[in-house]
Amino acid sequence: MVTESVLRAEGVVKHYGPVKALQGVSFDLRRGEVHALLGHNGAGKSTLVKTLTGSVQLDEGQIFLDGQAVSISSPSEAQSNGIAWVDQELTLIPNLSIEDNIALGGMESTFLAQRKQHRPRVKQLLEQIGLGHLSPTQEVGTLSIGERQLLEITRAFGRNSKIVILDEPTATLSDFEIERVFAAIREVTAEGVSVIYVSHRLEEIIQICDRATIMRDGQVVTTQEISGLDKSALVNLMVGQLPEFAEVQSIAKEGGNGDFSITNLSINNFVQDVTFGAKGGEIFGLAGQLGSGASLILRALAGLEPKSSGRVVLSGKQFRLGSTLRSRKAGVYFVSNDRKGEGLFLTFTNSRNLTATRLPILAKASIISRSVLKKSAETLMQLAGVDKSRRTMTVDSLSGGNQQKIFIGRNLNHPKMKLLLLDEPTRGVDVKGRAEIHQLIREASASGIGVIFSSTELDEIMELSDIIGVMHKGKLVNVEMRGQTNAAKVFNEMVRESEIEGVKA
Amino acid sequence: MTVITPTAESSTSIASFVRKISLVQIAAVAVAAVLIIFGAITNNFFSLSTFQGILNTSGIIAIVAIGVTFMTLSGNLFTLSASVTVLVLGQAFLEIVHFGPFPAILIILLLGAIIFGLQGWLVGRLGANVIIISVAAGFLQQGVAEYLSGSNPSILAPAGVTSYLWMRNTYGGILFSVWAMFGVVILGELFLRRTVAGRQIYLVGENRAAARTAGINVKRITIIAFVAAGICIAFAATLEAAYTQNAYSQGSYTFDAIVAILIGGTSVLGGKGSLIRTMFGALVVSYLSQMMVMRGYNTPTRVFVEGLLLFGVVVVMQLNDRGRS
Repeated sequence: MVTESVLRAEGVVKHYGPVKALQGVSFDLRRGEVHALLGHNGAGKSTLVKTLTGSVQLDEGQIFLDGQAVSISSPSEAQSNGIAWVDQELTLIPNLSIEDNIALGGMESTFLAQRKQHRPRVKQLLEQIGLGHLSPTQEVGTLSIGERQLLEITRAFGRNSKIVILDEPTATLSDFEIERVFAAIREVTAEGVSVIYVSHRLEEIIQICDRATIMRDGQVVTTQEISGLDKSALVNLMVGQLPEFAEVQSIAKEGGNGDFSITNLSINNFVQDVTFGAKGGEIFGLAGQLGSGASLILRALAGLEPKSSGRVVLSGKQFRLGSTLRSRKAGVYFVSNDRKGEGLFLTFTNSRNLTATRLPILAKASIISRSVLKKSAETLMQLAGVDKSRRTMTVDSLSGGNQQKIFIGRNLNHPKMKLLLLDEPTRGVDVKGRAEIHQLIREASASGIGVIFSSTELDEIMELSDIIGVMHKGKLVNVEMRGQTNAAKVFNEMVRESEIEGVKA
Repeated sequence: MTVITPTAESSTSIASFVRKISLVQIAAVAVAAVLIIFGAITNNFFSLSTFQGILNTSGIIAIVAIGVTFMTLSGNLFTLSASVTVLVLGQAFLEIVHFGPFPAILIILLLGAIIFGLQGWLVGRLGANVIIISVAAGFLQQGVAEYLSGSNPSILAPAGVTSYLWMRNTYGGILFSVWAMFGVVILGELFLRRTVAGRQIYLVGENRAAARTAGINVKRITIIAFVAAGICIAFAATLEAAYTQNAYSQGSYTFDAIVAILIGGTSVLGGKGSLIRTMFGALVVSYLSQMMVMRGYNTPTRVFVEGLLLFGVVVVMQLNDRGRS
């Protein structure tokens, strides 16, 4: 039976204090289907997922599994009910081996004692997701982020789960790896496993999902078969209406104070002899797949990579790499791709986060007045497009998109900034938030500073860049003005997989 | 008793207020209730002289604890050599106090700043473990002190020098060290809330990697936090030496300070807490021991109950942290 419902939620209500995260949501999941959960940040997707996985308790409503009313009060209970969840956050333990990580938290508690016996199964799971080249005994800490994400996914599939929830599974994956995930999804759904697929990437949803439930403001807008929908239809359902893209022409200011040139930059014996530059007011997009070195270049410029060499001149002045303080002094500001780890002060208020990088500027003789802080925070919240009333809320109470706006916002309107670096500025951010963040970046650039961002997403590169540089395996393979290149060309330069292998063979 | 004080910036919205009513509040109210009830059934406990006693026994401990709190807030746990530093600098104070109390105090504060600044440099610059560094620094200080004093363990106050004895007097029934404690809290809180470095201590303590990426000089802030600790501990050393008129016993400042910080509710992980909290932590400990003295418990029992309270605090804080994440 295709239409048999394995999981059904009825009238689910969840409040966080006075905030209604879910307002009577009903949802059903059929056996063997891939069901997309769509909506912009704050629409209620994450909360719904958390109620299904026992991470939060619902206030009203009922969840049914195979027609039976159940209450899921903890993640382990969800697991014993056959519900596996791959969160956006990686949960693997770096200093354990692949096989031990797969065993961890699994049902078979005797697994650890019987590593050898289970090794074939682990190998099979690795093969299935395209990690066949790895050994089950290898430490997880030695894997790339993309490989770890694949391992998380295959671990969830390997648990004999009936329902697997994937939350932004492909955010850190290359296109090749995404194909592997899709193949694995098709394999398990053919066996009757159901998948809930939470993603912002509409192309992927159209490609892999059977049905989609679209949420907005804590309610379900509609549940529809995907086959009748295209990208713009999905966007319309998600945001109600498309955000207006004002056609922004960025103004290259000749001799602006954000001119930069980078010569023979080498990092960690991986990135080699990278040379590029741009004028203040131009947005330089570094395209490249994960591990291409694009992100490393930004980190090196921010002073975070000790083993980097090369000549960097910003606004006519040369500065030495290898120290965050020297980079900062030169006017370099960095928005890391790791918002939680090295970006925000999560349990602090938005206000404290926004003013974190500019305390010396706001102070008079090292003394800071509270009203100056408040005013600065309010101005920045307005600039960043986050509601001022949230000034004293902690930043971890915001949605991912708003957190990212706070992170970028604290670097805006900064009198000492000459070069803004953004590593994956819209990772895990919805369509609307993404448009807003792009607008922020364009405005920052229009003030005459230099901007370099890196992205693995072709769309983002094409939308935001004035100049596009493509990184591939540590080398800058091409630099062109956006007007002189096109998406297909950039994509080919980013991937190059077949070509390289062809040369080897 | 454990007043919930706002951190550098308090949140006012109803949502966050409701969210913040937590295990900690409940536990704090419960502890306060127990303390008050036991106080009430203890003869003559609620009297002016008892409370003077509580305050008078807390001043120096609180100043040491407040100093260590700077380290805790910056994400550097505790020092395990506070007692040694109090002893050594107390000896030094008595040796030089004949130069006049103010120059002597200044020199001792400077020494304290240097002793802790060096430890901060090792921790911040070389990434050394604060616990190990503080233990090693403790042995070093003891060694140097014994060498200089010719292995004479007790140093007595210089005969005939009286210019500093105001430091051991009471004013309005309250010891000078208690008034000094209030002064240290006020100055320290102003530093933490109103200066760039003070606010950066919180940021570094909350998320060191983020602070570094945000361009904050993490090493400098670590050293500043240690120097602040050193100055407070040195000040406590002068008060201790002036009060006891000798310097031969180490006392239990190291662990008393840790107890006060934990009971006050400053996060061991850094980034959250305040000096006021630590002061109240010290007062609670003092209240507890005063009460048990008056109820006739012996020292082992008192230590046991203190240990129990500390244990409870750690468990509650742990559960609360987990609940939040």
